[in-house]
Amino acid sequence: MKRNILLYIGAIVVGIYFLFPLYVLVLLAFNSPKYTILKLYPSLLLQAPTLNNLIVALQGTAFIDPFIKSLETATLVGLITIALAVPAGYGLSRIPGRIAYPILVLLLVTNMMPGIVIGIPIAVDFIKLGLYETVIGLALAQTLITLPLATFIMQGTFSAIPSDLEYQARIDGADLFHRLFSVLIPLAAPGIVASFLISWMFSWDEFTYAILLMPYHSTLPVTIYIDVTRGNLLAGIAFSLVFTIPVIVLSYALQKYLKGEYLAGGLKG
Amino acid sequence: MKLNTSFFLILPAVIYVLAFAFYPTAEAIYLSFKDPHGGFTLFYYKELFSTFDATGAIINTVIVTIGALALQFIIGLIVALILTREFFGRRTLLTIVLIPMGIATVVAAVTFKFIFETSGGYANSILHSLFGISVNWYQNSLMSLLTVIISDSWKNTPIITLILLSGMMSIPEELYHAAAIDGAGPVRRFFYITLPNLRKFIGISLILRGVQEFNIFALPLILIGYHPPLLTTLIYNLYQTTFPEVGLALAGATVLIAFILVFVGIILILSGR
Amino acid sequence: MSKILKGLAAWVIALIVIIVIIVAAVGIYYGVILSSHKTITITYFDDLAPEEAKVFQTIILPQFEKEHPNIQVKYIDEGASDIVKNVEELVMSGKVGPVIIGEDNLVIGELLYGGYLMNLTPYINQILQNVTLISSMNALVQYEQKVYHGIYFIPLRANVPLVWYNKTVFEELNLTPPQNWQQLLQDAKIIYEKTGVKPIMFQGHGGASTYTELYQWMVQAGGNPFLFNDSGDILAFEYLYNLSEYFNPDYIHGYWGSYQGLANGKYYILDYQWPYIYSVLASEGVNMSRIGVYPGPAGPANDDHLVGGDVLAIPKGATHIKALIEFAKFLLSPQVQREFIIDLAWPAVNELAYKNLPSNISVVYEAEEEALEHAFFREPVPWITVWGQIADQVFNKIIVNHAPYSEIPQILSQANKEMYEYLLKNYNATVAQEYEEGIFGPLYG
Repeated sequence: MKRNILLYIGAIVVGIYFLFPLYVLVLLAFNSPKYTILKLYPSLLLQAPTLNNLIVALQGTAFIDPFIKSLETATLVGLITIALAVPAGYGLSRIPGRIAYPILVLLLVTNMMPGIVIGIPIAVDFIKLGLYETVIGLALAQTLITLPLATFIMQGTFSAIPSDLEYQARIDGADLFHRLFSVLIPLAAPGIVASFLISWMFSWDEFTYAILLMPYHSTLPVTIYIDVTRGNLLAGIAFSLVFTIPVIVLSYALQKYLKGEYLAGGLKG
Repeated sequence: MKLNTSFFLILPAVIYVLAFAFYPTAEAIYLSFKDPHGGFTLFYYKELFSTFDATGAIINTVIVTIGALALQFIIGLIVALILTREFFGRRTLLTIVLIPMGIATVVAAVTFKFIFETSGGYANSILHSLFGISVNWYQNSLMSLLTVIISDSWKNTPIITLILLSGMMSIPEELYHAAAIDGAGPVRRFFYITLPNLRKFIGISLILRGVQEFNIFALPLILIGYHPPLLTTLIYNLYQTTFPEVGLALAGATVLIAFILVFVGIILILSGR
Repeated sequence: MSKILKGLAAWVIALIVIIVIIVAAVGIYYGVILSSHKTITITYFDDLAPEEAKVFQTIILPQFEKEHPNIQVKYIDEGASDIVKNVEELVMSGKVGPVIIGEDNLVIGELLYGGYLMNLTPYINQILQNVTLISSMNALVQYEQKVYHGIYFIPLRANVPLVWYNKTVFEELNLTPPQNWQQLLQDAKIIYEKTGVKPIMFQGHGGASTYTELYQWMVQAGGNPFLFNDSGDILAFEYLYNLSEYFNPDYIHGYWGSYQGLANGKYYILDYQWPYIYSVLASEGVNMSRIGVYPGPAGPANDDHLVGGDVLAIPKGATHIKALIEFAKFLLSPQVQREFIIDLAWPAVNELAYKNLPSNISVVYEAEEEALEHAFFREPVPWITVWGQIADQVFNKIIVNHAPYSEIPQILSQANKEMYEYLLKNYNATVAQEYEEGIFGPLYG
């Protein structure tokens, strides 16, 4: 019994710790500015709830433009990532481990390169190539972040599909095309969807490449940063709130796919 | 035959990585040594360390990395331990713990900016109403770095928790039962069974998160700006001001890469891979 | 289980299709419909505070678009150094388009020197048709003609930092706005002792905000700010070192956007902030009769004031020059310059705008006019941002990190050395030599 009380106290403290900043965001967005940014010790309670902050901030192209940019970029990143990761994951699952392993490590090492280090030369090159301030340029760069994990997931997914199934289909006379679409892809679908969603979310969140490669009419994260540093505090807060909602929804949906299976699959393979 | 098609399938991803990761990195290192009048020079490195206090930035980056890793692991371990138990509301707690993962870095940074202020702000609201005191969260370099550590840990503890939790759940129950029968209390069970079995998981998450900590950029940029500078914010600041001559910024970038390589090397040696 | 998966996959595909449709629709609208009207869309960059930008976009720009139905103006707000970088990138990429910029006179030198600006001399008579530049602005124009043998930018507006203070606190403590540095230090001490609040807010966040403020302090002490270590500069830093004891702890975040502390009682003296905050405070419901504003205390050597503000320029390689010139003419016209004065409290550069001003001109404007009587510009040398970086570092060492008082001269000498070496390496020995001799310094009208 004593241990249970300790457990519950711990659980509640942890819960408050993780929820508090989200609560503050809600306060900032929905409390009248009198109680938030204009007050020295901002109120910890929702004292004068108002939708006005959001209404004023979300009108007009100031919000729609970055929102659409973020949407376009994230979707492109998702598509490019699975275009690269699905074949790579399949290939890696079908070759011997001792060759696959170094390649996976190579991809992992890529993830370790700081965005700011790679971003600067890429920015300079993109200016000359005309890819600067373009959605396609940014998407190409952001794929760097999403590719290693997606390949890892796809490799795990394809590894879990026994090669006998494929073999069986080949014996049954199906050519590569049919093998792909009636056997492999349906079975790999959860992994593909997970990869797409994770890549989408990474891109949605991404800041470093966005601020280096598209600093002026940028995605939402950079726009929020610019608003907050240029004195448009309420706009920054409102955008932040709206920006967070798709991610919470997707995270919840993704929770079902993030169970150990796909992460561990790569370790075993 | 099959081997060949497999390699062809991997090729696009490999080419992409070479073009977008390795080539720019090589370019960065090369340009950091290139003199504007032609030839090689160490001028940018000299400038970096003398005028722009790169050493200070390095020290700050190390402090933040170690501090954040420590905080994330301690809290992550505690939360994972709580979550291994079955209790009413466990599912809810798990969802709550995942929330920071769903909040964008920028949003978290902006929110923490309102929580930690020099006077006032939400943290001080709480302190003021409970204890009547107000803390200047940016009164010196160390405090400023602390706000970055706390904010960053908040955002990243969930992933550590998840990894440790999946590790803990893979430890067979029998080990615990056997130890309990042998008379080991919960504390001893933790240190002699849980921790050793988690070693692989701790190692991987240390490397992944450690490298990411060296690279944090959006959070410090929004929270503390360039005071005090971390390596990443210093590089960005230099890039913005000296553009289009990027040698100085790239010198900083090369220093950052060097640090990460050293860090990874140390961890690999320590974990005996 | 697989049903759920198939459902989710279908949902994702549906989402992608919807996004593609939205994007295509938006693209078609902008690409086809807008261009079919043969409207030229000029892009105008400027670095304004949010309140100023609002006035610009809701009052001033629509007037231009009404007079010129086939020209649209797209206004983009960026920081001054972002505009520099943006112009450099545009010119480097070779695809400029119809772009005109309102750039801070602080950083225009970098664009000038790098050859990123279009030579406006052939168009100058057109643009200045209805314009007589006020005399202090002539210094800038003469500068570019002397150094660059041409006209590459035209002054657009002036901006003067002022000192703001909490009248209530001053009255309660029987203080008057300090007229010199000694009084400022005394008043700050009294306020701190009586109220426990460190009253002075300084723009200490770093970057252009900080080094612009430092620039004026050094000039008022009789120094050439670029040199760092002449007697006036050292005097200024030693004074600020002592004054910093009364800096509000929030000063390390102070920048051109800081003003709220004055309204909510965090600090009582806002030492140098741009005048735009007057209308912002008023619009937020602050009782403006409790806020005092004046040009500030006089320094030991002089009472000169820094003039900021924007200049108009066109990036090299821009297209649709005619439309850009129309826009420039518009912004410099007496009518619009008059609106600058009345709606934005910006001192106009066109003398013709000063005719028949309304009699209830704001207290802010009066303070600006007084300050402008002794005005100087920061010489727009191309390396000014590097100087600024070094100035930031010095500020950090001396003020923020509170180095020992006796080390101030040597820290400043070190800064002078670093600036010299930078010029030696990135420019040439002549420039470095001229720097050391103090040839570059504040520009007087």
